[in-house]
Amino acid sequence: MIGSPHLLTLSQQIRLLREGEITAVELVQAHLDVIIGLNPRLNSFITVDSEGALKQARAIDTARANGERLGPLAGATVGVKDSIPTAGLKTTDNSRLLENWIPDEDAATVARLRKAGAIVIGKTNLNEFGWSRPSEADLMPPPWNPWNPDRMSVGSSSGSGAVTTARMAAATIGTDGGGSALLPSGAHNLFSIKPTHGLVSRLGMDHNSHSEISPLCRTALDTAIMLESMVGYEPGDDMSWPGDVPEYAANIEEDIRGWRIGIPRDFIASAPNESEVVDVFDSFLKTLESLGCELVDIDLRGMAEARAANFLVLNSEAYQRHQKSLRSSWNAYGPITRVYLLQGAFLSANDLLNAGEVGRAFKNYFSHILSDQSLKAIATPTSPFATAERSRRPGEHSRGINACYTAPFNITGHPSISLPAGFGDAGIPVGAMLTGDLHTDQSLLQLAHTYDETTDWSTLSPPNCS
Amino acid sequence: MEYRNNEQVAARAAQLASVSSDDIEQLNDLLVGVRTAADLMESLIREFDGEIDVSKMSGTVDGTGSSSPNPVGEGSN
Repeated sequence: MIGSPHLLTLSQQIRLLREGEITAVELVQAHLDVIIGLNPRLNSFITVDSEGALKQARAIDTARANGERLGPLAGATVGVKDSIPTAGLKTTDNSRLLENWIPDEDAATVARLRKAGAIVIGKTNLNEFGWSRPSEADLMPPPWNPWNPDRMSVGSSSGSGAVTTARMAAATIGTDGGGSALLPSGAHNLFSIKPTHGLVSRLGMDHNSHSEISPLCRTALDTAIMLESMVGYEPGDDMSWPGDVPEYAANIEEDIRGWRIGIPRDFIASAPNESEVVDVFDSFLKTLESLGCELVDIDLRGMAEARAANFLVLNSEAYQRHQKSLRSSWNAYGPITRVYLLQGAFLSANDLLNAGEVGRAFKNYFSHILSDQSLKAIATPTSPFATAERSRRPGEHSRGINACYTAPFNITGHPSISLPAGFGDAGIPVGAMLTGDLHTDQSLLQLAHTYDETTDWSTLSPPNCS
Repeated sequence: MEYRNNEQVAARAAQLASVSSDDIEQLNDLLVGVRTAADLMESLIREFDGEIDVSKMSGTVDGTGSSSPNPVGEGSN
C-alpha cells in the first residue's frame, strides 16, 4: 500500500499500477478522498462520479489480474471540462439550459482517453458555455484557486486547472478557444499544450472552429502521455488531421542545446504586464539560456490584429450555435453570458470572412517568421496578469488583453505550451509560453520536459493539498 | 458591420431575444469593441489583386504602430 498516491505524478501513478504496486481502486479512492475534503470550498468539480470511477477502476484491476493488456493510461484519474460530453454522466456546460443533460455518447477525445484506460472521475467547472465571465449566478459558482482560495481560478477551463493542481485528479482536459486552457494552466502552476489544429478531434462536442482540447498536467511528461492518447484521426470530423499518432512520451528526451527561441520583446513590452509577470518571464528566459537555447530578438507584427480576428470568429460562431436557444430561453442563460453570446448576431458574413482572411495571412506570416529565422519557438508570458481578478478589470477583459499572447495562435492553429515559471504577489502561479510551427508539438514537449527536469516548479503543491 | 448606433442595436436585439433595457446597455458597451474589430478587419483587406501584408501591421498589444485603427477583441478567454 502506497501512502498518498494522489501526490504522485500521473506517469508515476500509472507505472506503479502496471508494476502491481497499487490498484486502480486505491488510486481512485485516494483522489475521491481529496475531492471530498477540498471541493466544497473550491468548487472545482460540478459533478463527481464516485460510483462510476470506482466501477471503471475495478474493471481495470480485474483486467490486470487476468493478465490482459492495459492501456497506456490505465488507472489514471482524469477530470473532464463540463463542456465535453461524457456518456452516462451529466454534462451541464455550467448552464441551467443543460442542468440535467446526460449524453448518450462520449466526445471522441473522451472515448480515446477511456480506451487508453483513463478513469473519468468527474466534470470540472467552467464559465457558462466556456464564455463570458464567471458569475455567482452561474449554475455552479466560480471555482477558487487552490494556491490562494480567496482568489478566483482564471478560466474558462478554471475547474480543470484547480483540479489538477490540487491533486483531485491525476490530470484534466479543458478547451482553448483563445487561451481558455493555457491561461488557467499558467495560473495553476501546470503544463498545458494547445495542440496543432486538427490533432485532437472535437468530434461529438459543441466547439468553435479554432478551439482545441488541451490536457492540463503537473509535468511535461504527463502532458505528453495525455496528448498521445488524445490525438488521432476521426473520419467524421472534417478538421481532423489524418497523420499517424506521434510517440510524444517515448521521444520526449532531446538535446535542446542550440535551439533558437525568438523573443518578440517590443510586442511583450507593449502589453500591460504586471511587474511579477515581467520578473518571472525574465527568469524563464534565463533558464532557457542556461539550458543552451539561443535567444533571438524578433520583430513580430499582427498579434493584435490576429487576436481581434479570433474573437470576431469566436463571437460569430458562438451566436450561430446559440441563436435558437437565445430566442426561446433567454432567461435560462446567465445574465452576463447571454449578452456576450448575442454580440455575434451583429456581425455580417463579410465581417466573418474578413476575419478569416486576416487570420490566414497571419498564420502564413508566423510560420515564415519561424522558418526564415530557424526558430524552434517563440517565448512570451502566458498572460500579462498575475491573478484572475486583475485580468477582469473593466476595459482589459473586454478588450481581450488577458489573451493577448494566446488568442492569436488560436486562429492560426499553431501549437502553444504553457509552463510553470513562478509566482505573483498574491501567491498565484505565473506561466510562460512557447509557440512553435504547425506540427512541432513534439519539439515543444521536448523543450518543456528539459525545462521541467531542470526546475522544481512541478514538485510544488498548493497549501493544504499535500 | 451595419449596426452603427444604439438604436439600431436595440431594434435588432429585440427581434432576436427577450432583451431588457439593462441587457441592451451591456450589449451596446460590448459592441463598441466588436465594431472596432470588424472595421479593423475591413481596413486590412486589400484590392482584388492585393495580398494582406502582415509585416505592415501593428507591433503592439493595442494595435498601435500601424496605419490601422486600434483592434479590440471581445469575448471569453
